[in-house]
Order: sequence, then structure tokens, then C-alpha cells
Amino acid sequence: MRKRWLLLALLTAGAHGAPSLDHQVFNAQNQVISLSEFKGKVVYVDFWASWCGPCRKSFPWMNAMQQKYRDQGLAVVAINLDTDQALADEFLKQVPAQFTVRFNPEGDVARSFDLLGMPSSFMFNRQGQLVQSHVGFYQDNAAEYEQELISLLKE
Amino acid sequence: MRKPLFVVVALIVGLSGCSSLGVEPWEKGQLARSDMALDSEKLDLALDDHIYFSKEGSSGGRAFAGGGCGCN
Repeated sequence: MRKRWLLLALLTAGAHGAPSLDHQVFNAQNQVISLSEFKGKVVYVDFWASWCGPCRKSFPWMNAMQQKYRDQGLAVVAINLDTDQALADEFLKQVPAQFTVRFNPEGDVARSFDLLGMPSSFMFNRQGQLVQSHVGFYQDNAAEYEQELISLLKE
Repeated sequence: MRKPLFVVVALIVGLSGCSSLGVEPWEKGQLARSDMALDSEKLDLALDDHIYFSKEGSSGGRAFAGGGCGCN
């Protein structure tokens, strides 16, 4: 009896994961795939949704970053959090993405990363450790984000 | 035996009952719809404003003109 209450307490406390690359997401073909496929690269994980204005602004920048630093080992991974994938597809038609797009309609990965706002971005180094995170996307800070990526790529 | 159990349950519910309420940042898709905005209906805003300055006119309202008759 007591054990059961303990279990309940643990459940309600909510066992939160932490931001890491050990999470499962869907790819465009609806196959489950782990974020750890990008291990060994500098990974820029971005959470976005079709209804989020600043996300729209971040896409051209992420395209530019992916193109500029692909050869040095940068992987931009944008995880969509729309519950309806049709909305995401519509968005991608308007704002094409030249980087990896993954889907997490359940939002469980977002919960593990404990997002405080949309969009949110997380930078992982080549060892797969979380180094930096940002809430929101501000064009004024884009140079700063890029500098952080460059320093990670040089490591 | 009864009482401690009750206290424990009350504590668990009290401490964690509200921990999973509310909308998470990634769940705000419906709230982001333009028709969910407070100012999505311009006519509604105009009517609200007319009612406001008619009722509050006697105490100044938005300015000092008007006397609360709703006729200006």
C-alpha cells in the first residue's frame, strides 16, 4: 500500500528528462528516429511550430547557417511541435527548410527539454553535451548565435 | 494508521496537484489563431468603447467631454 502511494507521488512529481540527444522523434516519413544520429557533429536543435511568428523569421537564418557550416560539421535539426502535421507541411511550403526537420506532435521531447517559449534552441557540442540554449529568435542577436556555433565548431 | 495516510495523500495532492495545469509554450497553437486575439472583432471593440465612454463619461471617462448620456 505504502509503495503504491510512493509510486503515485513519483508519477505526479513528473519524471522530467533533460535536454539531450537521446530522444526519439519522427521524420517526414513518419518513422521513429533518434536525435543521436547527429552525434559527433555540432547540433543546433530548434523547436518550432507553424503558428509561431518568430520561428518563421528564424528559418532563413538556419538555412544560411546550415549551408555555411555544413562542411565543418554543423547539423541544424528543427523539431516541429504542431499537433497537425498538415499545418507544418503548409509552413514548409512557404518557408522551405534546407536543414533536417523532425516532428514531435506529442510534445514529449519538448517537455523533456523544458521549453520556456517558442521558438527555443539548444546547442550541443561534438560530444553531445548541451552547451548553450536560447529562448526566442532575435535577428539582432543572430551574429551572437553564429559566434557561439563557430566556437563550438572549432573545438 | 488512518490519519498519517490521509496527511500523506493531502500533502501529495496539495504539493503536486497544480504542477501540471496550464498550457505549455508549444501548446499555444489555438491561442495563436488570429480570431482568438482580444481585438479580432473591430466592431465589437467599437461597441465596447462606446459603452465605456457613455458609462464613464460622468466621471471624466477618457477625457472631460461628454456627460454620460451616450449621445456624443
